[in-house]
This record gives sequence, C-alpha cells and structure tokens, in this order.
Amino acid sequence: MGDYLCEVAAEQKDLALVVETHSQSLLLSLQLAVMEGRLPPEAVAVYWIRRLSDGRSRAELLPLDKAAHPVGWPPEVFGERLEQSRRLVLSRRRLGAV
Amino acid sequence: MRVVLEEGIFGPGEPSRLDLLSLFRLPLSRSHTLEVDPPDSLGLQTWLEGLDVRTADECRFALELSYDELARRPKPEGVRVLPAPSASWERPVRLPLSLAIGFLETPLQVLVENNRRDRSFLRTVGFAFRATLDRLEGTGFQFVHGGGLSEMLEQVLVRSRQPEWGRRSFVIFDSDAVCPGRSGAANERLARICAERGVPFHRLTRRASENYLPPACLEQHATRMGRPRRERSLRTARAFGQLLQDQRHHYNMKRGLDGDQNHPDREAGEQLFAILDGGKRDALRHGFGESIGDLFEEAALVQDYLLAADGQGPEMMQLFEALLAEI
Repeated sequence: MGDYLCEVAAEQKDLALVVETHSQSLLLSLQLAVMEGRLPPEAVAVYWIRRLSDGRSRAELLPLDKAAHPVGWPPEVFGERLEQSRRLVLSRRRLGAV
Repeated sequence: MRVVLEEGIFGPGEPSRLDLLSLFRLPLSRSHTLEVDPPDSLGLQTWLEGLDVRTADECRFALELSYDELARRPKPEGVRVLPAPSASWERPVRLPLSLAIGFLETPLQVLVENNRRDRSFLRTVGFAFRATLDRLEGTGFQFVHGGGLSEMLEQVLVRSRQPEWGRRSFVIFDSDAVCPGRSGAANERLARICAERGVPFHRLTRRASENYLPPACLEQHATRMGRPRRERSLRTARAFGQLLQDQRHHYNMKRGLDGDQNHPDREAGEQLFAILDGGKRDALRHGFGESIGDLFEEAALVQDYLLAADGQGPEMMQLFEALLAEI
C-alpha cells in the first residue's frame, strides 16, 4: 500500500494525497521511498495530531530530514510494542525465567 | 547514544563473551541504540550462532529495538566500539570494548543552572517528551546543579579535562540576552568553551527560562494573589502580554525594566523597550519577582496548549532531540 501511494504521488504531481494512519509500516514505506530516491522529500509532509489539555487538537508538521527522519517524532509513539517486549525480556531475566 | 560495533570485535581472540553480552544488554536496560558495521556482518552471525538460543534471541532483539528507534529518531554516531587497544575521545568517540561498557553505563550528566527549578522548567516546556524524560531520569541521565554562569564554566572546564566525563555531559543555560543576540561576555565564553571542548549544549534563545512562561499563566497567577499585590501584578502581566515577541523574550522577568539599570548592556536593552508608552513602562518597572520561575512546578497552571500557543515548540523540539541523542 505504501509503495503504491508513493508511486502515485511521484507520478501525479498535481495530486494531493491525504492519508490518516496509525501504520508504522506506511511511515517506513514513505521514509524508504525518500531514501531510495523514489519520492522527493519535499513531496511528503508528515503531521502528528496532538490532543492538548484544553481538548483541542493541533497538527504539528514533522519535516523529513535528509536521512528521512520525521524531525520531532514523539518519542513514545510506535515504540509501545517494543517497549512492552523490552520490559518482558527484562522481567524474565530478573526472575531467571526462560 | 548511538553505538556502532565494528565487526572486528566479534573475531577470535577478541574480548570475552561476557563483555560483549554486557554491550548487547545496553538497549534493553538503558536508552542506547546498537548497530553493527557492516549490518550483515558475518562475524556477528557466527558469534550469535555460538550462543544459546535464548541469549542469541535477546541480542537480536536488542538490535531490533535499536533499528526501530533509529528509523524515526535522528541520532549522530556517538560511540564506535572497535578492536583497538586505546581510546580516541574525539567525536564520534572510538573505544575498545573494555572502556565502552563503563562509559555507556554512566548516565548523561545534564548540567543546569538550578537543579530543582530547571528540572521543572524542562519537564513542563518539554511536555511532548515528558514521559520519555521521566522514564530515563536516573538511569539514562541525571540533572546536575551547575550554579551561576561562572560556576558552570568551571564545571565544564573540569569535566572536559576528563574526556569520558566531557562526552557524557550536556549543558543547558539561559542566554541572559537583554535583546536578541546580546548574551554578554561570560555567557559567550561558556558557549565557546562548550563548543571548543566538544561538550554538547543548548543555550536558550530567550533571556531566561522564566521568559517561556506564557502570558496567560502570569495573568492567571496574578488573579490568585491577595490585594493590593493582585492589582499591581495583573497590570504587569497584562502589559507583558501586550509586548512584542522580542520584548517578551528578553524582558527581565524577575526584576523588570528597573532591574536592568546597572546592566552592562543597558543601552541595548533600553532600545528594545524604547517604543513603550508611559503606562506600559510603568507597569513593567518591577517584574514578577525572584520566584516567578516556581510557576513551572504548577502543572495545572502552565498547560500544554498555552505553551504550544506561545510558539516555543520548534526550539524545544531542537533541544530535546539533541538531548535524547546524547542519552
């Protein structure tokens, strides 16, 4: 899906694709497409929608740097699964469980 | 910190298995990322095959954790571990395995002017990074009380004489600038020494941490005071909220316009505020008091939407990205 969207975006420059996603895989596809030269970095805008304490949401632009990192990515986002796995490994080690 | 292992350390006759395993545990117990150069290293594969299945899986997981984080977070190479007898402390640091473990197990020392107040300030303005900071404080980094500028400079000089400490330090300090770009000689010296000695630092673009308090917080704080302080503080807060951005960022928050009368850069500061009318100037004469920075400890007052509206996001993003890369 990610590759297809990148292909369409690269070919049809007058087309704006707006994608709402929680998919880590889709973000990685975009990053890879930029690094592999299939999509110019300026063709991609990543926004993180942050819910603030007054109940409103704010769209924060996270530009891709020259190595296709979304600059300012919220550190805990997409890290939950691996963080849980990390804690599981540490717990097992602490308890001596295999 | 981003750690790169050179393939040679997996070779025969190289350090003990236990030392290497300690290194592979760093992404699990600390916040370092680990990768191998080259990524498809045959030496690594052979070494992993010599381990029991569970330990090999843990090592592969350490690499998986690291690659996952590196996909999203820009981190310059911090340490390269290589089969060499001696260390090179130029960035990126190059270390033999025997030194790398101790170095990487040392928490980053975050040198700030006032340990308690700056900790509150950073946790508040860095709301997007707060959960990560809380998770890493203690094992990944520690706040260190630096004192005033001259004491901080002394600490940086002492630390940078011991390269292993200089490379595990991060310095954060006010700009002290009475107007944009006028930080004063002592402040410039601290920034220069940090840069020359390779000690990463962030100098706040605004005059002091208190200048990051959104005007609405100051006004709300004033309304909680008893009379007659309330009227005076409200006047000051409202006048502050009406200042131009550069004026707000470089106003003497603690002592007001009168507090700069003996400042060595007094004229530059006066120029910034020259356009103020008499009423506003009068309201801003005395500032908000010495303890105004304590408001950063009041989470219910200094809320994320007010900070976001204050336009400090890009600077804070830069600060915390740089800090996290070092942790």
